[in-house]
Amino acid sequence: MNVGQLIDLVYLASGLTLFMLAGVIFRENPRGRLNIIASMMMLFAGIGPLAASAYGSFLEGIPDIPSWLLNSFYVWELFFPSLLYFSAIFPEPQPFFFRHKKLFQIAFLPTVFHLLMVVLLAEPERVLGFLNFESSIPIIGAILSLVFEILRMITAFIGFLLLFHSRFFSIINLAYVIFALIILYYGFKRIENPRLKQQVRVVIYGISIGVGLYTLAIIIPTIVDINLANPVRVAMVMLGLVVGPGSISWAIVKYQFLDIGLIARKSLVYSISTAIFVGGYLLIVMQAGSLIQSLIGRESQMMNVLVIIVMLLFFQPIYTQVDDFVKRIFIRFRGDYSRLLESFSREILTVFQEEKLASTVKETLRREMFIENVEVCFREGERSYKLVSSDLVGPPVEMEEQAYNYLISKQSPLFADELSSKFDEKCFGDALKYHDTEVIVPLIRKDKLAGLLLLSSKVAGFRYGSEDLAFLKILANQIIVALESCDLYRESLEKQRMEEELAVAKQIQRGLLPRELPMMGNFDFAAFIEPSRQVGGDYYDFIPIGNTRTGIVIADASGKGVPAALFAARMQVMIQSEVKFGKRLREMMASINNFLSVSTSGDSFATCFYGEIDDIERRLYYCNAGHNYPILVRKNGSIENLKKGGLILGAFPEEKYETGEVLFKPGDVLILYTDGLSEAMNDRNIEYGEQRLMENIRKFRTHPAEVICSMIIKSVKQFAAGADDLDDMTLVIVRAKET
Amino acid sequence: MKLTSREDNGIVILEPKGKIMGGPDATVLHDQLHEFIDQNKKKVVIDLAKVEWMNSTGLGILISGLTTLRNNGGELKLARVTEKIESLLTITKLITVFDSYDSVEEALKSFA
Repeated sequence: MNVGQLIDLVYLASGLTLFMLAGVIFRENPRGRLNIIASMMMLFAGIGPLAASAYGSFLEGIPDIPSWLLNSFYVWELFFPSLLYFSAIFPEPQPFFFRHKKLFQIAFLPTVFHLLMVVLLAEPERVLGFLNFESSIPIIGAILSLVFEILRMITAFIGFLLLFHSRFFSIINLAYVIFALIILYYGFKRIENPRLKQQVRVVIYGISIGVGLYTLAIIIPTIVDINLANPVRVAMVMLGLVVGPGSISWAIVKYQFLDIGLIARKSLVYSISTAIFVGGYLLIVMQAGSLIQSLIGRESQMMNVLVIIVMLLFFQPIYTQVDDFVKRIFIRFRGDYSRLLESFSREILTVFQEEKLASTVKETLRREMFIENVEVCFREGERSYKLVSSDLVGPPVEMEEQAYNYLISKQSPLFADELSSKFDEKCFGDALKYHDTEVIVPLIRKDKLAGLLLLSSKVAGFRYGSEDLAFLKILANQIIVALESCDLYRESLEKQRMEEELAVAKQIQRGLLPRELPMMGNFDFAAFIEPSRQVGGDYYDFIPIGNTRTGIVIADASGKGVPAALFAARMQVMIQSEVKFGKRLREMMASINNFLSVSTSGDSFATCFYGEIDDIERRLYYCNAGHNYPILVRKNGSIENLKKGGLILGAFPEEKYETGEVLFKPGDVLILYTDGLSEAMNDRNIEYGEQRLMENIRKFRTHPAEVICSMIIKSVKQFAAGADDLDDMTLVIVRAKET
Repeated sequence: MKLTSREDNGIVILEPKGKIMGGPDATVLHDQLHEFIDQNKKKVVIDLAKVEWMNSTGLGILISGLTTLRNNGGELKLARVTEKIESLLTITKLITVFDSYDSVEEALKSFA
């Protein structure tokens, strides 16, 4: 292989590369203006080196090619107006482009004219020769000869033009190049996004260098009529051919320039690397073949085959290495999204607040995908979604049912126009329009739409590719996982808070209870209390009054937890201080009721039974403020309810209360309890009930108070075994001793 | 608990159904009552025919409803109180506070 062949090979390769680029860019978005113009530019640019290669390799030897056919290669000159057009719309249309669109189209006309001229009129004499025929009819003959004369003059003029057409049109091409470079630079300066700028810089520099080299090597020498040394000229053109398309390929591969899809990028990398590889391989095989030939002095087919086999063996592992290398170095953009996902998932691992999650998502998408605006919406109500972390105070997304169901069934990111074409434009309220939404990413969790991402268009008119949508789908899954952990975190916080509160309530309740049972000559006592899981407002109390009397309280404040416990505590303080004043029972209850009614909110109250047992009189004076009737079981088994008193405490002020009175005889048993005991339910929703309670008391009544108490509790617990969520359970037993 | 409401001649009739216990359930009834007060509808009948049971929170809601209505010059009346709840009202002596009627019609008439 000689230098000439090598040059032809490079021409061929760069021509094919340009064709391939043209194909790749066009196929990616056949309707996009930028893609059409860019691929046109590459296509025309590719014709140049291909023609040169063809001319150098095999056309040169063929003597009789008509010059119009050779001249048809001038079609490649359309590259220059294409470049001019490209410069005006890259990376996005310049403001003046829309005003002067026609101008950029008209720019094609001189080049087209030049092409027609050099093709049709390459050899004016030959064209005229076709026309020069005789006619037997004199008039027609005269007209024909007149026409012929005119044509001859025109062709003479064109022939004259043809003498220096290449110089003249080189000036036009040079002008195009200069304008194009100025416009490209102007556009480049206007880009603000740093990553986009980086991508575009490579392309602009590449094109500028490529075109610049060609201008220096060919255009300017043609215009000023200098003959550059051939090797210099060829080297410059070749360098230009490598740098120009190379920069565009590089931008495509490295930065997903023009959003070229993964497969196209891969094939681009492989084709180029394979071309270089095969080129190298052929070169070595040929050189080795001729070396061996010169060594052994004759041509040997055997040796050639041997060399090829050795080379194949040698190259196969190298090719694998190269393949790996290519993957590692060039297909690294593949990693862009996966690396992004990796870092994103690491980042959101520690996010437990929806607002923070939303702003992380927003930040990431804007930075990495060049999306102009990202809105993150989380579920607020039925098909209603609030904007989280929005810069704008936009309306919430209110969805129509059809659109909602469609998103659920779709499961994947989709373009907004898909939705508005299927349903009413307002199927999302005003949100889509308001946020300029182009892509909607549904966040689906347990068959429900937990949220949405509304993505506007990308900066600089980049489009969303299938790769983007696939990436967004994976991202959506990660966001859903993160949302779940936000929920779990919130729940655990809530639970912790509630548990702390319950511990407080339990502590308050325990603090209300007397440390020991009263000691009286004629009575014996027992008491039991078991708070529920949620802690209610139950409490009991024994208050010593002088030496012979004991106050007994059993009460149940409404509600649960800390409020109920506090209510009970307040009531206890009141009762204890009123008792010390030595008021009469009904006056005491009225005054407690007044105090509680005024000092608490309207819906909290307590049922309360207060009694005073006189050891000597063996009498109980009592006032029942709305509490479950205590049960008095006489020794003979007859039963009385202690009902006298008045309204529950704390609900309505200015109530009147009555005092009741019972005389105990030895063996009589009084049972005071709260509804948690009588209403304890078993797993079939049946209550323990007052009936069962009375029967059991009757059964156990001959035992000491302590025993009766524990037997009743045992019986209730056995009854309600397996039931969950019992209420507070309180039981106080007073038994008149049998002497 | 489920809650429906209707109106008859300017009197609101609330029809809770199920158990009036604590929690979000009860808040609905509470909020509903206060909504009517805000709308200046101050004559309310609560039809308890379909209420199986209520606990102390439930009673609290009735009490605060009554208090709020009365403080605003209105009235709350109960109708068709079931036996079980009647015994609860008896024990707590709330039966003396609430006007309770055997039918909704009677309750409505009592406002006249």
